[in-house]
Amino acid sequence: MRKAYRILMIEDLEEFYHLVKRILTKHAELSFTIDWFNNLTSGIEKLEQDKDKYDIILLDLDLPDSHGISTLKTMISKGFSLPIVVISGSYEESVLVETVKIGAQDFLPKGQFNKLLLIKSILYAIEKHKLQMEIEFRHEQIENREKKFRTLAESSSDGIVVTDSSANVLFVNTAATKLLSYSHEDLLGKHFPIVENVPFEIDILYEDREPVIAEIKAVRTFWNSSDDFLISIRDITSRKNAEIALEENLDFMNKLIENIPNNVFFKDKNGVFIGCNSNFLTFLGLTREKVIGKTLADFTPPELLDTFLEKDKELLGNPGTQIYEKSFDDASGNKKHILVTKATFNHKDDTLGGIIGLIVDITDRKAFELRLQQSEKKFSTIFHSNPDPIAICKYSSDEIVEVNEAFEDMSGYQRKELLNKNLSEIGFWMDKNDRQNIFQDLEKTGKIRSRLHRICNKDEKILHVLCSIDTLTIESEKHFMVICKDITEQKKLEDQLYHAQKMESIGRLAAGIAHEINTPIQYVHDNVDFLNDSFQDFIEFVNLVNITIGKTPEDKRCADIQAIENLKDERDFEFLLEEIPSSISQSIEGIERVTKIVKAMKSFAHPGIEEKAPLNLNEAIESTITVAKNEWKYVADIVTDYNEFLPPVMCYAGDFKQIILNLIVNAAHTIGDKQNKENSHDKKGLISIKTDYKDNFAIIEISDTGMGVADSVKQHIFEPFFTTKPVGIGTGQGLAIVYNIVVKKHSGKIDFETAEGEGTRFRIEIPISAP
Amino acid sequence: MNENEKLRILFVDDERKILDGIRRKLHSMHREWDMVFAIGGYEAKKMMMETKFDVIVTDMRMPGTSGQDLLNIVREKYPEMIRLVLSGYSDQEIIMQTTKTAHQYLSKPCNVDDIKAAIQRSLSLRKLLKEPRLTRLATQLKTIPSLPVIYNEIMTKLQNPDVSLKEIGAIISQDIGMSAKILQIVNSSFFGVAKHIESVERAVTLLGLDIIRSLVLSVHLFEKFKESKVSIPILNRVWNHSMDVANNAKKLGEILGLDSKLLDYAYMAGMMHDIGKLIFIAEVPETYQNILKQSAEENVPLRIKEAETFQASHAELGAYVLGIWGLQQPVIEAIAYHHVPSASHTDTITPLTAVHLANTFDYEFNPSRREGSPSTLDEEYIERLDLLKKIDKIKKKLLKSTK
Repeated sequence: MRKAYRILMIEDLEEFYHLVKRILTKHAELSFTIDWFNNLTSGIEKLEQDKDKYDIILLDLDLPDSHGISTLKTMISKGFSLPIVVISGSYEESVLVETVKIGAQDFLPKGQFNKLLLIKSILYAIEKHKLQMEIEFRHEQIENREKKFRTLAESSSDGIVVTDSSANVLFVNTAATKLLSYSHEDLLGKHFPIVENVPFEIDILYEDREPVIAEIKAVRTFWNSSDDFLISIRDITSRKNAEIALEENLDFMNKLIENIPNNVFFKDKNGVFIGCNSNFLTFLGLTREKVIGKTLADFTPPELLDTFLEKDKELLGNPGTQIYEKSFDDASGNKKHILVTKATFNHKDDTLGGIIGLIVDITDRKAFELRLQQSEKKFSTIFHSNPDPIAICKYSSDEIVEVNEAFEDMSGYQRKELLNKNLSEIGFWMDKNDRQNIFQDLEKTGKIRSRLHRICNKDEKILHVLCSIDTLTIESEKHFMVICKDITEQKKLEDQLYHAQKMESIGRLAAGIAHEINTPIQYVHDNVDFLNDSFQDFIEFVNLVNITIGKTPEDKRCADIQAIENLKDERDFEFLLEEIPSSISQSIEGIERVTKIVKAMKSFAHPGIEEKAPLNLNEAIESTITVAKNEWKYVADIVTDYNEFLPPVMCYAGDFKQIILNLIVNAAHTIGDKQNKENSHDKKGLISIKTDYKDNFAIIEISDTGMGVADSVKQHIFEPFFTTKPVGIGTGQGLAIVYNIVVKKHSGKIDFETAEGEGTRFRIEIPISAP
Repeated sequence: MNENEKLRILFVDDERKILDGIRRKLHSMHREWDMVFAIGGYEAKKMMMETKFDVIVTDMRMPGTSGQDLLNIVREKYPEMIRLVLSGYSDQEIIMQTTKTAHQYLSKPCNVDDIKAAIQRSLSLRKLLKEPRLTRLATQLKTIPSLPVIYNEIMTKLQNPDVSLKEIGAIISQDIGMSAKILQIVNSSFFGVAKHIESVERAVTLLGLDIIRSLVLSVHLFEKFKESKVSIPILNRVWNHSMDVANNAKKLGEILGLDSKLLDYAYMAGMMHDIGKLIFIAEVPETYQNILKQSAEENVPLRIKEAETFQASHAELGAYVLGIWGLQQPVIEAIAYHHVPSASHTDTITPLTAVHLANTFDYEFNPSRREGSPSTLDEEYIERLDLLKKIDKIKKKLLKSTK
């Protein structure tokens, strides 16, 4: 196929157009098409539409709408990038030069124009234009590349410097100038130190900012020659800092692991130990070489191995954490307990990495726990087997939280019945005031010791207990512990003993009183007997007298009178007349004496209505003296000094007389002892009893002239069972009972003054009106 | 002691009115007795220093010198005096002490006639003993020793808290001295019993275990023969003889138709008829050893030899001691006259009859028990009782019952 060239021709002469057309269309090998325009404007219009339809422009300079060289200029300015061949009727050389110079491919004068020249010019112009276009394209391409490279070099955050083989700077990018803190101009052409291929770090110091650590690396490159160097300068400050931080962190972690007081190890998922602290080594008793890189099987005693392996397997099969305890005998045969805590760790890619483990030797803790358990057991045993009843209750509600067996026994309830009940429900507080009083004191002193208390058990039996209370905190709640001592039996015994002492004194009195009564009875009996006998004598005498009186003869009388006188002598009338009056008076006196004793006895032994009642103390003392007469009369006299204005005193009459009796008996005994000691039985002692009152107190003083109380026994004399009398004499309760009656029953006071060898004075004060 | 002399009796009490009462009541005795009344122990002591007394009747509880003190003084210084207590006091401790110092104990209130009787009886016994030395020996006597075996047994038994009263009674009734002492305590009203008890077992029951235990263990009421000084064979002879006579006297009493009370007397008298021998053995062992020897050598009845030395035999001595201890008249009589009952001036069958027969028969049955020539039947007495013909029959009956 023939090559076809498309031509746009702008020519004002139509004939010239046809000429050219003819010339070109007749060519045998080449094919030309020509679009003809007779003015510039329409030609340009066409081109602006279909520029690519044409291969070349034939342009006449002198056109109706444009002349001369400006026509070409206009066309070129349009930038159609098509080769232009100028055809002009002018022959001026200057025009020719001008046209070529400003961009036409060729210039054809109309006059010299022929077929060959025209085709050659057209073909040349097209080819030349093609070439020109090619060059232009290439040039542009090169420019673009360079631009890209520069942009690349500039946009790199790393500094880039290029030097020649002598290390003189050929190129430097902005990053480099910034890093090196020099301008391009300062750097270009300067020497730049290079160590080929070996990267090194330098610290770059600045005046106005933090130093930078830079890594510099030089590689050979081709810049101008193959001996040039490309030097990269990289700011590695943050990388470096991160590295340092990491290093420090790692160091910290290592120290941490090393210094954890437990045994730490880690191993990979195959069970190979990859690390551990020295505690772990110490624990195993192995060197690091014997552990790291080894598995459990390499150093674990066979009896433990299975357990550990199984546990590892279990953990690896179910990653997470695992805690278990294990006990075993160590090499020295000591029992060891360990607590093993293990966790799996993962690699970065989330694949299972291995196990990190912590072994805590809890042998001591176990031992402590055991001791604690034993201790707990011990205390529990003490608590439960304590013979004294104990209960622990909540402070706020009295709710029972724990009781011991003794408490069950005492209360009569079983443990399960007692728990969660409150103390009132089981009869512990018979009277609400009891709790109030006890807890008032508990608040004050923090504890209660041996408080006498009464409770009612399940069988409705009243028990006397000594109650001690302490507070304690259990699980941060305030509780109290109450310990009871059941003294019901003791109390009973005490009562019996008190009774025994009373019986003892009554028994003693009975013997004495019997004697006191026997004595007057003896002589009253003798006297009455005597009077009876005497009366017989008198009857005989009276009869004789009567007979004599009845007889009249005087002479007889004389003899009868003699008989009377004989009888008088025989019967000892002198004696009778002398004795009868005194025997009568003594008998009356004896009977009065018996009466008095019986009265006093009756008053003394008055069955105690155990209520306080007003009592005339003077009378009570007097009757006691009478009743006890046999106790003192052999050793002492009693003088009394009563204050007659002493008002009646509210008291237990029986108890009061008991006090006086005990003190008189003691006084008599001590006087007797003194007489025995000094062998002065002929000298009677003296017991003085005095009553008085002051304010609301009746005062009774009883003093004796006996032995006095030795210093060593002073503090004991009011104690029960304390006696200075030989075994078998007295119960040792006398003064204890006095004390009990005065102080406890009557809220009174008792004290005494004594001088050894001289005597003792007891002083008792009793409130006149009961408090 | 001159029998024409008035008896001197000292009454002691701290209560003048008591003394007045007694004085008035006993005024009728003033021709026979010189009665002196002392108020309290001190005055009594003074009076005794001034004049001699035959009997003291004292209260126990007195200020100053007590009755007990006074009795001790009397026993030591005036041993021949008969010591009686008249007390209204009932403290057992004190009474127990008196069981060894007082011959008899009278409880207030007491009929003065009882006092009178006690005094009279004591004084009448004086006639039995003519030798003052023997009288002193008898009045001073606290206890009659026991056979060591029996003594040891009772000491052991009493220390056992579970011992029964019956066991104790059985032991005491085996021993002559213990029996005598227990009967003294029961019959003179030491513990207010004042009953005439002639059975040791009953006496023991009346006193009770506590009192007996206290009496034996703390008052040392019983003593034993000191084995070093005494020949045990004679003791055993006397013992075996006495126990047999006791049993036989009771049986004879039954045969003779005595009532039960008299049977008891017969038994007791039989048991104690030779108590005088024990007293001799205990108190004058050497002298008595000689007497025994002589009696055997010379084949003279022992009582004759005793009388040669002491002007009284063991019969009188035993009767005297038990008499002042307040044992009953029939017992005393049976003991005093068991050799020669005709001297008793009685003509009825009494415990004496039974004891005399039992005693004589026993030496007949057991010749080995004889000391010197044996007692023989008092034919005058048997005749007087009209038993002469029956005597063989009686003996046969006895032998029969024994078998």
